[in-house]
Amino acid sequence: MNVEDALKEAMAAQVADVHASPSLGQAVRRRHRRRLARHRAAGAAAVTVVVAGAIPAYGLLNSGPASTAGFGGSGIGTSVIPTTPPAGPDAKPMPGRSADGEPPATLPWDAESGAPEGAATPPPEGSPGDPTQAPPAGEPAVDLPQELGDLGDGRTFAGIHVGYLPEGLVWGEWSGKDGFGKSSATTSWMRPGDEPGSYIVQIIVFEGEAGERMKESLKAYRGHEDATPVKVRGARGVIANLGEGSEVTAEGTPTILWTIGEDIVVEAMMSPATKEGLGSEATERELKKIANGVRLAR
Amino acid sequence: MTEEEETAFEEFLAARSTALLRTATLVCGASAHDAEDLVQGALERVYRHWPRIRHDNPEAYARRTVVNAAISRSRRRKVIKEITFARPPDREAPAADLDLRDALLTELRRLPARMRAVVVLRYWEDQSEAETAAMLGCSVGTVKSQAARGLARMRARIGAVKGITV
Repeated sequence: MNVEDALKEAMAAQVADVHASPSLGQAVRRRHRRRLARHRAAGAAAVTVVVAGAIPAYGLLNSGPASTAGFGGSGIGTSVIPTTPPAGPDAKPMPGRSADGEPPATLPWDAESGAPEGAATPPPEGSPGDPTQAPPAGEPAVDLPQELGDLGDGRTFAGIHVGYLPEGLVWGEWSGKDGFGKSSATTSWMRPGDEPGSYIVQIIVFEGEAGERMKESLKAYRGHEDATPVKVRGARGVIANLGEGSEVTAEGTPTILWTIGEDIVVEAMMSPATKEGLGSEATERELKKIANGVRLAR
Repeated sequence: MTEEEETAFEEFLAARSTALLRTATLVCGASAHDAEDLVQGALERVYRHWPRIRHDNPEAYARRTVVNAAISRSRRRKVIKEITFARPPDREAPAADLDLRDALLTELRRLPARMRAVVVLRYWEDQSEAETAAMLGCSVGTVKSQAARGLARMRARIGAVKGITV
């Protein structure tokens, strides 16, 4: 018997007792009703923001589907970011703007519909930005680590401040410490309504031992033929798609790594599903804007 | 949805939901509860788009949705686990007396999520390389290499443990 046949037999035996429940249809419809109720509530909240006024319109980086304002949609081309550009090259980016003064990107699909109606292929179900993966109302959320405590909007942590993020993101309400080596810290941002623990943008800060290790990785990535060396505010950095084993691979997670100050290496990544919606070039632009918006906060 | 569309959705569930649940169980490599939750989420999406997709191979749409959800969930679980517990040690293969089936399934669960999905779709679902590539949104070449690497890992690990050739 070859390994393919043996594997097939093993898989068949493994799932022989797995049967869908007769009440599956009811559960699906219940889930659907809960989803509708949740998004009706979210839509009402967003409409309130628009009606409150003082919201300048911008040409958005990506014209997504018509959607609910405030959830990354571009249907009415509005944004809550201020209109005045930064005062000079050394000025800190205004909240919600990149260091070069560009408005934030709108995410490629909205939290309400998941994808434009009629699109050939909706975004992958279960992607980090997939609202259908959110736990139904009233059900317990995932127990996420809170190792850095309450970070507010999450933008200031581990000695850095994140000045720019794509529009519509909120802190993921979790943080981890030393999970990526001693003296590393991380947190992430997602869209309102996304499943707890999912991310659109995640940032990891490496210092100490972890920083030294990542400096070596940064050097190696910069020499890789499929990676793109970049400068982030004059410092060496690199953009690459990194796989599950941190290897450079076309199908990996779009990631930018750079140094900030003497001893800190920062890694920012966008979810592969977001890249699918934005496209590679726009994703790279966003990563650069995120990186350029990061400052030391000590 | 019209009553006729509701009935057609029920028939679709009766015919395909067990197969989808089995595929999800194998691809996400997790508990039956996780797989069921994942399939419910995928089928809610199918239900939402049912009037549009029901005449256009809803089974393929549902399978693609389930598989991508399973891959994504596996990755999220991995990220959270790394953050909370750091990277767990790569355990040695099971003891030599473990039978072939258990060794194969253990090895299957160890594969990276996308590679596991390729293996399940090719050797459990009997999908062609082109169908698998379309479902996962990658090239046929990627499917070939991922399947070959997945099988090679199983062969190597099992051969080392059992001293057998499969």
